[in-house]
Amino acid sequence: MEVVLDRDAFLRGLQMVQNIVEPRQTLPILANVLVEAEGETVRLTATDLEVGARVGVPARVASPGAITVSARKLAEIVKELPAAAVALRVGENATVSLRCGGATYKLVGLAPDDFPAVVPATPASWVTLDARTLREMLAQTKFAVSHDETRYALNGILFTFQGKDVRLVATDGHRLAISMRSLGTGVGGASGIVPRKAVNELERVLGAGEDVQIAITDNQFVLQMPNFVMTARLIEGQFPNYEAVVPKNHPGKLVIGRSVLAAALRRVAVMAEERNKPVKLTLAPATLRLSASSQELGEAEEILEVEYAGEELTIGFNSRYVLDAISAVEKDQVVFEFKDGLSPGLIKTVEDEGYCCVIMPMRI
Amino acid sequence: MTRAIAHVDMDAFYASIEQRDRPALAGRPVIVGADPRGRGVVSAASYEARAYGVRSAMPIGRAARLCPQAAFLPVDMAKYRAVSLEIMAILADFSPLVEPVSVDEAFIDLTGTEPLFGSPLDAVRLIKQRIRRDTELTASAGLAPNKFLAKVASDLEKPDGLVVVPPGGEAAFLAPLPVERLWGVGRVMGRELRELGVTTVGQLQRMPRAVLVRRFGRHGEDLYALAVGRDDRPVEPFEDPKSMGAEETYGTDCRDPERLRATLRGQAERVAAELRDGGFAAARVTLKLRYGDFETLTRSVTGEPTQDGLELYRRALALLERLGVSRPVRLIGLAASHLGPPGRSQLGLFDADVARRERLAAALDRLAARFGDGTVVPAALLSRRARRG
Repeated sequence: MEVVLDRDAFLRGLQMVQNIVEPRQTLPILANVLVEAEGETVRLTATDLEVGARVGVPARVASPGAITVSARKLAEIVKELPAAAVALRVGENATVSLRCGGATYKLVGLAPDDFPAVVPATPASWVTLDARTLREMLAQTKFAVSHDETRYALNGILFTFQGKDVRLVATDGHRLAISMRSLGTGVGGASGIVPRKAVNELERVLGAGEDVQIAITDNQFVLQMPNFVMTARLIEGQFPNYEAVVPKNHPGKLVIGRSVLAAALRRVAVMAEERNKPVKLTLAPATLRLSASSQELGEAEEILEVEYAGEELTIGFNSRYVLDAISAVEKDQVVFEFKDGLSPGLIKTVEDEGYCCVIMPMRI
Repeated sequence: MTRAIAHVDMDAFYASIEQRDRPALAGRPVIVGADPRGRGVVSAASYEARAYGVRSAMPIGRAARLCPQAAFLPVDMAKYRAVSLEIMAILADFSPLVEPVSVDEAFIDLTGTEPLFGSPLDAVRLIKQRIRRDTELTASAGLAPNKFLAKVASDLEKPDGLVVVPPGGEAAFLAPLPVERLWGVGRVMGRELRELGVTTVGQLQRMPRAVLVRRFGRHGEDLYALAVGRDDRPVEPFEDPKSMGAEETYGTDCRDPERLRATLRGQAERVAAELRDGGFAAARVTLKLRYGDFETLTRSVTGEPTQDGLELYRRALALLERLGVSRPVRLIGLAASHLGPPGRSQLGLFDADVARRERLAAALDRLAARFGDGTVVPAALLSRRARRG
């Protein structure tokens, strides 16, 4: 194999796949990136057997071929190279020589034969949406993904395609975030839990404008963009019946500016106990009183004039959960709905824009 | 300042309690532990049984051969723990600084208690009297300027002993004892010391410190300090437990997955009850598995802190399933660690039945406190027993 690539394009390509490589691998070859040269493209592939990605980088291919080399070292090298042409050549015994300007490297490679193939499924249908929308939906749900490794089914985002709706749902058992968008066309019917790692990678690779295609098959999530494909094995397991816990018709309704609420929460939470940062909300017509206290530290209180319609009530929340939920929307006004001190609170935007977050209270 | 540290160690604790409660066993060899036909170990042996060479931690089968006429009794931990609490309460009357080492032994710092109980020696005599009067059991005690010497002393004249190491008499007290009495001197170091011609602590005291350090590194320093009877560790009243666990060795290696699960289920309930009793929730669950060939594996998982038996079981089971049991199992166990206060204040979205289970657990704990452990068990375990019985 012998190719010449543009350093900047090479680096961009590497950065799109390199993060998939785990710092510690079960198989040595999984530390490597597969480099394949054919036609006018160099394809770079990385996988950890769960998540895989492949990117195409334009190149001058003098002779086609394939090799694998350490993903981390290759990215480190290319990052330091000047913006110039990079020449790659595979020599005897899977040695890779790399040249750029006056710098030369010899890398110990591994034959490509043992590299686990990244095979995107061929779905019956693709869902097309623009990258910005998908990014937004990920941001509106990702924070609620569970880090509790004992609850596998919650360690990812549930993607559901139904009718014309694309819906993303995440929960850690304490709060639940739903992001929904209606597309102009039918999206078929499919659903699957996409693991957190794949979600993180998605956020990294999604650009600002272009359209992307996604699909869910029996066991795989696939994302396609020009010159890029990513696959992720779906999490096996039963996602909880989330629709049952989304409150309907809560009588208490608080309308408040997102930044006002966030700032007050942060100020009061300074005095809250560290682990769960509990803050008590006391609602009365036109006022919201936030308070926190800790036996060792002291207490804090803040009173806001607000639009609140409903009965007086007191409810406690982990303030981080509320902050996460309101940070996920762009519009400033949010609606916070309540029933009583032990029922979940519901946060959404003023005009229903396909986002809501359900938060269970704390006993305070 | 010279300290006065006592070490109180109950004599053949489990066996003595059984003898006390069953007068027919008084004066007879009693062995508390696993089923004598099985493969477990001796937990405690009465002095009558020790005369036949029976020791704790010995395989029960061997104990049965050494002393077939002994009364073999199962371990009744709930009972022993209750007696232990009585004893610790007595000790607490003498000093705020009581450090329980296990159910049947504790250190007490008596420094400065003279105005209340007279000399430390008088205080120790009073402690022994109170224990005998209130529990009808005997304790052996050691009184010394530090924990190490107090512990060595309490062991010298068992049962019902009382040995005092006066301040200044540390080295002389230790000199005639075999080096194995020193903490940290096991079989290997004992052999190496013998190669150096050292069998008693006195001989060790005469070794130049530099030689010990050269031979044993930092352990050499510690060894020298112990040999001359130096030990600065304080008596620490509250040491929160780091973990709680349960394990079981099968009579014959087990290849039945259903039985493994049932064992785990029972262990999870017991550990959960212990967590609730101590006011803890555990974030980490560890599964331990030993195959018939003694290969031992452990797997752990960390999640939301819990003190719920079903939840502990669920996590341990997931570990067991991921591990994939490949051969017959000799031992299975479950441990809960990363203990903290139970964070029950955060309500859950999907645990409508968690509150119900919490009330259930509380009710079961009350039943167990009143009628003994195992009064009520999960049906999964019951059917198992019924089938076996």
